[in-house]
Amino acid sequence: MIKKFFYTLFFASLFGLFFSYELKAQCGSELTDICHAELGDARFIRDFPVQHSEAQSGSSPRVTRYNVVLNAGTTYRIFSCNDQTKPGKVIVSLYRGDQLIATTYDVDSGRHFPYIEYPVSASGQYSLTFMFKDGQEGCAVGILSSVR
Amino acid sequence: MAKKNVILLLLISGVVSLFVMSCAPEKREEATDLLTDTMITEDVGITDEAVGEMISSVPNPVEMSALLQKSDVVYSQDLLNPDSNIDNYNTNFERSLNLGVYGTDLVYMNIYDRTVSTLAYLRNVKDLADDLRIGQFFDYETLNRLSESSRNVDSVLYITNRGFDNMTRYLIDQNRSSIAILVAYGTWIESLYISTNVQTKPPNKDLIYQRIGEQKIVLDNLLLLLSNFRNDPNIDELFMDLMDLKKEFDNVSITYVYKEPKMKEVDGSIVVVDKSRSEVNINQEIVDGIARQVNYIRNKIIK
Amino acid sequence: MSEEILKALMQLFAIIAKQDVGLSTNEREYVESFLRQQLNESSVKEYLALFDDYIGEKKASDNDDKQKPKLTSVKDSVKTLGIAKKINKTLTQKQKIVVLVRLFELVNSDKKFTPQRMAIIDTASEVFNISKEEYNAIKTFVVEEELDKWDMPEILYVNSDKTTPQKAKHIYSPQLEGTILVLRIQSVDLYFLRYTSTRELLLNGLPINNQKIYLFARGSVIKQPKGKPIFYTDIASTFLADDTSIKVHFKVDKVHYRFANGHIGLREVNIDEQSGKMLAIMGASGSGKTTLLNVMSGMAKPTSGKVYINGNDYHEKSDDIKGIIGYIPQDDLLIEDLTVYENLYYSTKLVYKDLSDEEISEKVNKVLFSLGLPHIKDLKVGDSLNKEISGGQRKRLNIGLELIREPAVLFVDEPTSGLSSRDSENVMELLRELTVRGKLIFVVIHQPSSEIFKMFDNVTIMDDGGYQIYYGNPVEAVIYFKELDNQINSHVGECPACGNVNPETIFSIIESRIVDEYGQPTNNRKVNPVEWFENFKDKISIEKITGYFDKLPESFKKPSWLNQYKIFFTRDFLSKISNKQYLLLNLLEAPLLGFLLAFVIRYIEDPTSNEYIFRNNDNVMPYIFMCTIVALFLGLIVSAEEIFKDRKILKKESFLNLSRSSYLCSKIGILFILSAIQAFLFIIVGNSILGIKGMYFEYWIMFFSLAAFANVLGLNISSAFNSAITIYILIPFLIIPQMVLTGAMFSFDKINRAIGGGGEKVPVIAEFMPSRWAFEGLVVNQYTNNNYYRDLYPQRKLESGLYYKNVYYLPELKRYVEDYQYRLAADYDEPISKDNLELLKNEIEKEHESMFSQYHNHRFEYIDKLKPGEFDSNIANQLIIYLNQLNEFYRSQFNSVNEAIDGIIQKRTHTPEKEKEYRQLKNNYHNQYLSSFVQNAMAPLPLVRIDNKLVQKTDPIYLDPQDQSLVNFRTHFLAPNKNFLGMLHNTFYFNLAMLWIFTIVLYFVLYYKLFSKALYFTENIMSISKNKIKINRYKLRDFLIKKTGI
Repeated sequence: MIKKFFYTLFFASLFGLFFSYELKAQCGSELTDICHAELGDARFIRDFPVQHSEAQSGSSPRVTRYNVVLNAGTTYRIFSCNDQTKPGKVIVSLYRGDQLIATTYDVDSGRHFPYIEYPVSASGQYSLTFMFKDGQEGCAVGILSSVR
Repeated sequence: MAKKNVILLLLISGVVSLFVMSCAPEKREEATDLLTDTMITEDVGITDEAVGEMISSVPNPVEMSALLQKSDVVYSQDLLNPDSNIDNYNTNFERSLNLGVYGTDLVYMNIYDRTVSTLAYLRNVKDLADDLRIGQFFDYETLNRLSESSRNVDSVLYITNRGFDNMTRYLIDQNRSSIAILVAYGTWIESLYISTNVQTKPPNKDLIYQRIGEQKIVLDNLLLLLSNFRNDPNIDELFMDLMDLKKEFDNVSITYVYKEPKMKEVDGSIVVVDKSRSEVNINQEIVDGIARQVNYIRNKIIK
Repeated sequence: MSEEILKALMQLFAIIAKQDVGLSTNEREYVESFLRQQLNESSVKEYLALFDDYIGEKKASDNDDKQKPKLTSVKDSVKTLGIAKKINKTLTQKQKIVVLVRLFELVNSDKKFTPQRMAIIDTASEVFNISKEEYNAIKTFVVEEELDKWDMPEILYVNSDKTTPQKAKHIYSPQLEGTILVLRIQSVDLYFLRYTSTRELLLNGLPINNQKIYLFARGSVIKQPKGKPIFYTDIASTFLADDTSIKVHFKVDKVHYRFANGHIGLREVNIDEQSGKMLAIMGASGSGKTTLLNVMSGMAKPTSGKVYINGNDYHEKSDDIKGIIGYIPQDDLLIEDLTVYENLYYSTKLVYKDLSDEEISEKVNKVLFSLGLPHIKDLKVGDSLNKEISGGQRKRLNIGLELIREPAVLFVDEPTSGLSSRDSENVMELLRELTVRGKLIFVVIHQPSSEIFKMFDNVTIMDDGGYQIYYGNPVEAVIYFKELDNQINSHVGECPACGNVNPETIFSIIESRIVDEYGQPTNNRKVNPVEWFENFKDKISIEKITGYFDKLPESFKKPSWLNQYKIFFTRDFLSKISNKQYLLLNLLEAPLLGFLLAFVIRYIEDPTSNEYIFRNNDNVMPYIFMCTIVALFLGLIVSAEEIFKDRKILKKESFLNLSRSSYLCSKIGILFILSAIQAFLFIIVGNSILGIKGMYFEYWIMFFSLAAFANVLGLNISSAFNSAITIYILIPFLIIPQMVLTGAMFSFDKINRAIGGGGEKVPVIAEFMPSRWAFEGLVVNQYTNNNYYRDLYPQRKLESGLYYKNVYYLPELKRYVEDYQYRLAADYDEPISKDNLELLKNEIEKEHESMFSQYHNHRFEYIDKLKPGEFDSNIANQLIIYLNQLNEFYRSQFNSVNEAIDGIIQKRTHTPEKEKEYRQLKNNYHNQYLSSFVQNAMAPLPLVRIDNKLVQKTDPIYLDPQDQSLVNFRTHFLAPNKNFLGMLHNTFYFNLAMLWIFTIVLYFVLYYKLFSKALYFTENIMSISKNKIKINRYKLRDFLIKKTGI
């Protein structure tokens, strides 16, 4: 009886260690691998890792921008995943020039959407921006993929 | 008797110490000359962040190749850069450009399910990456393994892409942006080369031509990126060649009609509805012109 | 004598006899008695008649020319000439001398020495080519009657006169009446004898007539009524005694010998002999003959008792004494590939340092002559399978090798074994001859023939268990045993003095067995050894020799070390050269191997191309590995049998007290030359085929050094083991561990941790593998020093160091801190372990001291806080900042170095032609696979943690040794330099030096025979301890016996 208890404890702790290690290593390329699982059918094009430290009080949160060229006739899907060990939740936004096309965060409902699907009909240069809600410290990755 | 042995010992120790004296620490001094006393920051006029921002606009060969495949374009091995050419690439400049070239070739082959023939190209990409000291990002072992079967194309593409992306990011992070840009350039030029040299019939042809025309946008970005490194004569030459290409591309006109895009929520995610349109005006003649210059640039690169 | 000669003699006698006055009765009597000595009765009558006829003839013609004696003598002289010439053709020189003596005797019978007669004898003598001195000696001997007239060196007196004659030799015989005169004709080695008195004297049992001249042959004995008999050897030895030979008194005094395993070899053996005698040592197998010989010759030390030479204890002064001792073992000591002459020549050279080549040649020829071997001097000795010279000749040559040294005492072990009876006699005669010349010879002999048995002066017989059961005259031995046998068995009626001197008889008596009821002999002897021994002690006392004996001479002046070396070297060299098969095989082996190896592994990577590119041949690294293995093999094989082959010769030459180091060095010299040639051939062929350009010298010298090491190792084995097979079995055991631990087949990171695998430095056990030193040296040299890379290497080395720090090292350090931060945030009990803190401290200290630190000014001030209790999140943050600073530094340095290198390459490939050149260079000199090998591309991890340090595993070729200690040069595998005594030494040369140090150490092991001692020790460790116990028990027992008398 006691033996069983200790065995389970032992394995549980191992388990825990394993997970904690996993969790710890999330920010970075492992995060992309985990996020990649969400793709399903979509074909991976590019990933955009983002890591921001906590924004200074008073200043606006940091925004990271990436330019992409999107082609007409292709439907793109833009995913994002957060590193759970950090408080920040990423907000991904798609712009054409200055015009906002889509964003993963709905201010009114306060909901974060997992992805943006965009069938492109006008080829051109777009940009993706990444920031963390409330300027919190965060680590996330955005994935650009195309739907077949 | 003992005296003899002592003499022998002395003699031999002499010989031995002779050998040992032939140490060569002088060469080290030479090399450490290369170390600088102060930290030189690359006064490049463009920040790493900016480079990172822009370099992501160079399309992934996956997209290009996917298009080609979707358009029923026949696979043509001859178009690719022969893998033996790798022996010709000695400098960082040559290597980074051709890393991009081979990367594109690799993707091209994979998309057309020619996974097994990719081995030599995998090797080349790995070797070039190693030479550039960015090899640790290229998971050669896994790719090698996966290439054994054509069922793993998606994984292969994924890992390849990731590899390149990571390499690019690392290079930028390490203040070696010029190399990252060259890799991207190589990738792009090879895609363009394949597309412009491919045999096809309408309506696929139109689609491909359109895509070619759209590269005009990328070209501008590349020019911008390259312009920051023109102090390097090689890059300068590349820049000038790209300027010539730009002239060809100036013949392409793209017209845009922009409408307001709308976001919709569908099944827990955002779907965008955008009625905007773009139209690319390109014809055979223009394509030929582009093709000519692309051929020139590309063949210069791959030697 | 043949009919012809007799007839001629009769004629001669007639001519002489009838001169002047004519035949006298005395003369005729003389002729008659002469004939009687040679022929039977009827033949005597026949020849006498012939003689009379000849005289008659002459008488007839005489009457005619009585007035002119001179004229008749002219006619007669012509006749004499004719007869003499005829005799010349058919008789030997010996026989001619005899004839001359007889002629003189004839004339002497009447004492009519007329000029005519003398003239005829003179003529005859001239035709016979007899020298004036000998002629005069014979004449004097025959003709003279007074003692002082006989005083010439060719004559020997035996009398009771104490005064010695001036020129003649003298033997003092106190009981002798009158004088015995002996004439020696040196050229034919003949002795003639006459006696002046009329007293009774027996020559070989027959009385001597004082009017006659007798031939005194070998083995003859003169017996006098009172006094000792005089032997041929006494007389001959007096004539022949060399002035230079030393008179030796050899005494074995109650010698007792016990073997290491406790068995008793000799029990209370006594021997007393002096120069000019030959002693036989006989006995059944196991009776201790050879042991006795060994003890007497100094090769074994008696357990108790002493051996004296001229009063000196042999075993205490063995070095001095060895010079006068010669030992001829049963087996041949000949160098098979050299000729008879050459064998003698080199032996002589080793003994005499001061003689010129001509003088040595002279000596050799003299020995050849005395051995009777001049006609075969240019024949190769050959071995038992390739017989060029006969067994007897081999044996005599063996003896000759010893004779060169002119030892005063000779020990011979079974000289006649395996020889035909004629050869045996030849050999024994030679020994007898030596004895006569004044040497003292001890011979172990088994089943001699009767003839040979009689040749000995004394014989000692040993019985089972080392008991001495007889010592004395051989002839009397038979009598002794027969008497004893008679006593014990009471066979009445046996004649004790009868029978041949047959040694077989002795042994059958000694070993005769009890017969059972069926008449079959059983296993039990009638008389056991102890009984014989008791009898011997009772009945026979050994005559003690008294007299003055010289002090022993100084030991031989050996040739100088250098000369000995030259002699050994030349001898060995010639021996090898003359063995064509050996030479061919050894010289061809190397290039053939090189060709096979290189040809097989020379492959072209691109299946569509026919152009061989060095760069793409993955087999070059394994080739370098194989080079080391081949070097070891070749080195071992040529040397393994060397000393073993020479084993017996060494034993023999141990008496010469020659320098062992000189011998070893000569061996090594020859082997080194062979190895150098083999190395050269192998490398030339192999490297050329594989396209390894340049660096031939480096490859050659490493290969040669490794082979040289193997040579000395082989010599060690060769001298330690006692059979050839054992030696060859050992070779795989020496090679295979070296193969495994070279670092080529099995990476040191991937071998058993228990022996050091995966550690920071090369495993200790691999430090003792010469193949590893060689391989490492060659690989490092090939990579860093080739024409393509030698200029780029230093920059790449720097670049690699910076890269490592930037990409692996610093991020790893950071990880430790980040781990701490995480664990702190997650509220772990021990956010960072003591070990980790220590690691951080160690590493940062290293960073502070690294050579890069002079190029930046980052220092971690809180380094002292890197211990448990003092480390907190602030320190951690500071640490992260510091590490980031370092990271930036290394990054920018890396970039600039990388760009600089790129710049160099750009310059070298600026134009298409230069680029082509550059590519050619790279293809020809820079091997791809080797590059990844030296960069450790196959390492599991780029860095590992060992204890509390981080150890770099990637790019070992670019990493200098990390251990800064003065003397500990041990470092990781493939380091480009080794750190020793505060300096960095190029790995190639350092490793080369190490190889030579190994070799030198092995030389000393060889010289001091440590190997064989260790072997002996391990083999006998059980029995030695057992024996020690046994011996102590014996000692105790003996002690008790002594004390208590029980």
